[in-house]
Amino acid sequence: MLSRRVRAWFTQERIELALVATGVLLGLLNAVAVVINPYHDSIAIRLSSVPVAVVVGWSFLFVGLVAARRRRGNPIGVLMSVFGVTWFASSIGWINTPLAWALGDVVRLFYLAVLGHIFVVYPRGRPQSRLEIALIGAGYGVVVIGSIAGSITNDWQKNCLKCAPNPLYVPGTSWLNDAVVDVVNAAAVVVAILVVATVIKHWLQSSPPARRALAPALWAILPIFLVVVTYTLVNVSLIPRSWQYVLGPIEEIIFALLPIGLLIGVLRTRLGRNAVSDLVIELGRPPTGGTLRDSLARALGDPSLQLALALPGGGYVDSSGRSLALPSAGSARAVTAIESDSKPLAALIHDPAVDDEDPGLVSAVGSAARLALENERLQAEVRASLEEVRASRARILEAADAERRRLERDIHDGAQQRLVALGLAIRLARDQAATHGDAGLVTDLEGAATQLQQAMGELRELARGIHPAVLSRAGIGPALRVLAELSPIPVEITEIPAARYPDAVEAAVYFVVSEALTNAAKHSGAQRIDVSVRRDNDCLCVDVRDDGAGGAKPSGGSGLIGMTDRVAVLGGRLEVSSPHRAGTLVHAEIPCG
Amino acid sequence: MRVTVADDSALFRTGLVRLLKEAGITVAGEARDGVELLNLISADQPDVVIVDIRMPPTRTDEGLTAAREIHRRWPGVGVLVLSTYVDTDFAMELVTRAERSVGYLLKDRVQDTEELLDALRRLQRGGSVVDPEVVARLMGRRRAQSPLEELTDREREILALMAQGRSNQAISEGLHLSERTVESHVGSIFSKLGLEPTADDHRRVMAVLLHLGRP
Repeated sequence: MLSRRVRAWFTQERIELALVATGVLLGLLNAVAVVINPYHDSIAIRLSSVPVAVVVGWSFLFVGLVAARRRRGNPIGVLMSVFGVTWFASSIGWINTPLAWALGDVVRLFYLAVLGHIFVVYPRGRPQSRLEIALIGAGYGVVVIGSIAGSITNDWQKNCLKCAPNPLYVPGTSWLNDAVVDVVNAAAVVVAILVVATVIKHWLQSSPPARRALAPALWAILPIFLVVVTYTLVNVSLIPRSWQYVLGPIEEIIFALLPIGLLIGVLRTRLGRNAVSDLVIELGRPPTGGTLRDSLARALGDPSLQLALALPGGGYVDSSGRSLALPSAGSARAVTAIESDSKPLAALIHDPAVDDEDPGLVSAVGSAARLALENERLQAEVRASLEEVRASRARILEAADAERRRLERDIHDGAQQRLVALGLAIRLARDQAATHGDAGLVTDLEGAATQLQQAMGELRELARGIHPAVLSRAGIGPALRVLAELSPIPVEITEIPAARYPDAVEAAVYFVVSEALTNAAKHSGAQRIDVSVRRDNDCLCVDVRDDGAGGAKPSGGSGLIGMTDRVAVLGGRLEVSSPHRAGTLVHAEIPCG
Repeated sequence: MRVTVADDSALFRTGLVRLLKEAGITVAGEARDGVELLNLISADQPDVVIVDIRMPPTRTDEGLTAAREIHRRWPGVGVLVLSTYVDTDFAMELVTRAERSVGYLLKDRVQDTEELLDALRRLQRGGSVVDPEVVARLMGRRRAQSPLEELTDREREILALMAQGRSNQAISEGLHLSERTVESHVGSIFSKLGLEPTADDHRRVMAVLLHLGRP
C-alpha cells in the first residue's frame, strides 16, 4: 500500500524536476568549485575549464529532458539527464569537507556506467535481452564497486601533503590499492569492449530507418571508447601520462558534442515532419514517374514500405489491383491504417522501427497523402475491376470450352450412336425388302442409307469443329496433325512439343492454328503452310506461315478476332503480319505456366 | 465364325447382333463395357471380338485397353475396334503396337455388311484391318521430299489398299489386275519406300502404316 503510494509519487514530472534541480545545483557548484579550486594555480586555467565542464553536464541534462518529453515511455531521455547529473557528481568533492571530498571521489566515474547504459539501450531505451541487462548491471557493478574499493584503499595523503585525510580510508590497506585499480581497469575495458560490440551488433541487425536513429550512438561511441581505453592504459602505465593532457580536452570536446549528436537522433523525428511537408509539396506537383508508394517510402525513409489500398467491399489490393493480405498481429511488419470519413482508405505496411523512431510519423504521412491515396485507391479499384473482368472472361471461356467438350461427347456418344443404329435398322429393312423382292423399296432404303451416311459424316465434322476429341485425348501434336491431314493446302509441321498443357492453352493453340489454316485455304492461294509450336520459357510460341498472296487483315471479319480474344484471355498476344504478295504469318504467344 | 460384341449402346448392339445373325455369324456374347467383355471371352470362345473404343466408365479408350488385354490373354482372338470418329494417331497406336491381327474401323462401316464380313474374315485369318479414311488421312500428310512422290498413281492406289490390310489376292480382285501384277507393284513400292518385304499380313500393315505415319 505504502509502496504503491510512494511509487505513485514518483511521477515522471517529479523525477524530471528533481533531476533538473540537482543537475543545476551541481552544475553551479561545479562552476564555483572549479573557480575557487585551491589545488590549481592559475585563475585563468580555472576560468577556462568552467564552460566545457558545465556545458557538457547541462546539455545532457536538458537534451535528456527534451527527449523524455518527446518520447514518453522511453527512458533514454531520463537516462541522459541522469548522465548530466552524474557528470557533475564529482563536484560534491568541491565542498570543502573531507567527507564530501571522499564522496566526490567515489562517485567520480559513475557517469561512465550511465553512458554505457545509454549506448546499450539506445535508441529504444530498453535492453533487448538478458545479456544486455547483465552487461548494464556489470557496468554499474564495476564502476560502483571499483570506485568504493579504490577509495577505501587510497591513502591519498601519501601523494598530497596539502590534502585532508581520506575519511573512507581503511588504514593499512594502501598496499592493495594498485592491484584494485588494475583489476577495476581491466574489468572496465572488458565492459567497454562488450558495449561497443553491442552497439555494432545493433547496427548490423537494423533496418535503414533504425540505423538512422542509431547513427549518433555509433559515431559517438568509437572515439569515447578510444579515450576510455587510452585513459586505462595511462593508468596502468602502458602509455605515458603526458597523453592525458591531450586526451582530456578531446574527451571534453566529444562529451560536449555527444548530446548534440543524440539530440540530432531525437530531432530526426523533426526532420521526419519536414519529410511530411516535402511529401505534400511533391504530391502537389505533376507526377514525375515514380509511384505514390515510392514517394511515401521516401518520406518515411523505409524502402520496404508496402501500400495496401482498401476496396469498398472490404479487403485490400496493391496499386496494380492484385489482392493483398495485411500482415497479422505479431508479425515482423507494422501496419498503420489510414481512414477517410471513418472508412478505411489504405494501410501502410512498414518497418516497426519507423514507429520507434517517430511515433505518429506514419499517420502524419498517410494523412498528408490522403488525397493522393484516395486517387490511387480509385485507380486500384478500376484495376481490380479489370482484373475481375479478365478473370471472369477466363472463366467464361473455360465454361464455354467445357461445354464444347460436353457437346462433342454428347454428339459422339448420343446422336451418332443412334444414327449408326438407325443405319443398321435401314440396312436390315433393305435386306428384308430384298428377300420379299420389293425392288422399289430396296432402292428407297438404299437412298435413305446414303443420305444417312452423309448426315453422319457432316455430324462428325460438326463435332470436330466444336471440339476435337483428339485434343482432349492426346494433346496438341496429334490434334494439329489432324488439322494438317484435312488441310487442302499441304501443311508441314516443323516443330511441336510432346508435353501436355492446361486445357485452355491446348485449345488456344489448336483454334489459332485451325483458324489460320482455314483463312489460308480461303484467301491466300498459298502452295504450302509451315506450322510450328515451340516452348519458349513460360510461353508457347505458335507460328503459322504461308507463302500466299498476303494482305490478310485480322480485323476483316476473320475468325482471327475471336482468336486474338481467346489468346488475350490467357494473357498472351496474337499478331498477324501479312505484307502484300509476301505471305502471311500468324504469330501467337500463349503463356503456359 | 463366333463373334462377341461389346458396346454400351443397347440400340447399336441389338442392330449389329441382328445383322451378324442374318449374315450367318454366331454371336457368342454381348457386353456393355470392357470388364464385362473380358469376363465373357473364356466362356464364349469367340474368333473375333467387336469392341467400341469409347465405353464406360471414362468413355475415352476402354476399347484400346480391352484389345491389348485380349491380345495378351487370348492370342488367337482377333479384335475389331470401332470408333465414331477418325483418330489417326489412335489407329496408328492400336495397329503398330499390336503384336498380331487387329482392326480399326469407323462405326458407320458396319452398315456395309460385305465390308464388315470381309473385315471379320481377315481378322479371323490373322490379318489386320485399317479404315480407308485413316489411310487416306495418313497419305494426305504431306512432307517435303516424301518418297510417296516417287510412286505412280497405281502404286499409290495399291499402297492404300495394303495399308487397309488387304491381301494381294484381295487387291488384285478389287482392281481387276492379275495377282502377279499386284505382286510386282508391291515389290516396287517396297523398294521405293525402302521397306523390308514381309509375308506376314499384320507385319506388312504395320510397316506401311509406320512409314506413312512417320513424323
